[in-house]
Amino acid sequence: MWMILLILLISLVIVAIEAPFLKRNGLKKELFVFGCLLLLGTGLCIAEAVEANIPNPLDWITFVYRPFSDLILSMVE
Amino acid sequence: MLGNSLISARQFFILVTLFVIGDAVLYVPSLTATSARQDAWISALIGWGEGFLLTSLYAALSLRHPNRTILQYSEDILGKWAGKAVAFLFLSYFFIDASLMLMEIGDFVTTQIMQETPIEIILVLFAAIIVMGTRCGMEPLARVSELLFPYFLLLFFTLIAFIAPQIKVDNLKPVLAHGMAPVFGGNFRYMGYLLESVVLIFLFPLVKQPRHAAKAYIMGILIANFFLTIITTVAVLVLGPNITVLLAYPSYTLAQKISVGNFFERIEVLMAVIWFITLFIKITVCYYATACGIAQTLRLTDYRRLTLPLAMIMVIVALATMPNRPYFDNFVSEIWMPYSLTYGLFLPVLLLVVGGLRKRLGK
Repeated sequence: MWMILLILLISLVIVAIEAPFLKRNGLKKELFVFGCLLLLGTGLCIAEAVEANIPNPLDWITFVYRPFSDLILSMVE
Repeated sequence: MLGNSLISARQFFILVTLFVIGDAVLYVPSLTATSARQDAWISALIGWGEGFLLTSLYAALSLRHPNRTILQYSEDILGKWAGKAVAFLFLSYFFIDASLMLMEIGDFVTTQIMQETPIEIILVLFAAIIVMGTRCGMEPLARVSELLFPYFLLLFFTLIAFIAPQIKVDNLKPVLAHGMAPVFGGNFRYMGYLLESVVLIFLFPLVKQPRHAAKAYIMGILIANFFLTIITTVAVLVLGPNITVLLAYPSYTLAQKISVGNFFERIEVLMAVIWFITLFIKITVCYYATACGIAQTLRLTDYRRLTLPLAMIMVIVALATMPNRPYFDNFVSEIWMPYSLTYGLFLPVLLLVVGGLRKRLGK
């Protein structure tokens, strides 16, 4: 619980640092991308804090490249 | 867009050197020795030729598109949508690379130096430094690398000089006992690290004189290869191939073994400092390329606004990528090289060929 509060606090601090600059200069698109990344980041952090199962990107990479790797390694070893 | 910062060819040379040494200095000895055993040094020597060819390719590609980053000219060459797809693939590669190295720092510190500290603390602290470095822009970072380079040289040669009395030449024998095939197996892992230098192609447009930058790129990777070959050879010479393979961080163990006159010992944290210097440069370059690349692809004006939220994602991705050490070792040793090959060789060659064809047909 404390962890989630802490994460939300950090997100708020990040908004406090960046949002005034973006607002003042009227950078709509930047604000949108910034908001998306922050939402994703906060979501992932909370998921990690409650020990949810976060998918591992390396699993996908391994799935794609395994046949190729086996082919090369069978030649050299 | 790129912060209007310019770096000199000399600074670029140092950036390339420190970048390529990066995390390789700790992992390469055991990775090459996995397959090549006592011939690991030959695997590293072959890397010199590969490094030369790869950087020549990157330099040739960059010189054809002056003042544009790889993400921009992939759109020029392949058209809007295919170009954007390639750009996002590159961005994912930069980001995964940055996250993996962040995890390597966390794993190293928590297993070797501070066993009681939770890994999240190390990751968040290091991510904070990287964000600070990235927000300063590339010009200050290039100057920092220039400042840190002499310290790196001093520490590296101190390590080599004090471990030299323990060298046993017998550890290298027999040379090529099983033919060349295992040597190429070792080189397979080594090349995965060389291919990561494709990230630096992103910084190429920042260098003042492109001609000199091309030379600096090639020289930088050759010098980095020199250091990596030395550390691999010394690790095998001192520890022997059987122990080098088993260790997670052979160069660190090498530093632990230093003992001169029962007085000058326990200087292994020096080795860790070498690693912190090179890895800081490497992660920051990757992170800068990610943040700046996202801004360029989405046509945003300032990449700095993206650095803080992106760091949150990076820390979590870093935690997710290493469920346990054997999984990670297996990934680095078998999957990393083909994965890097896609971005380090296949896509640049594709861009070069398609760009050349379009130019010829356009005339």
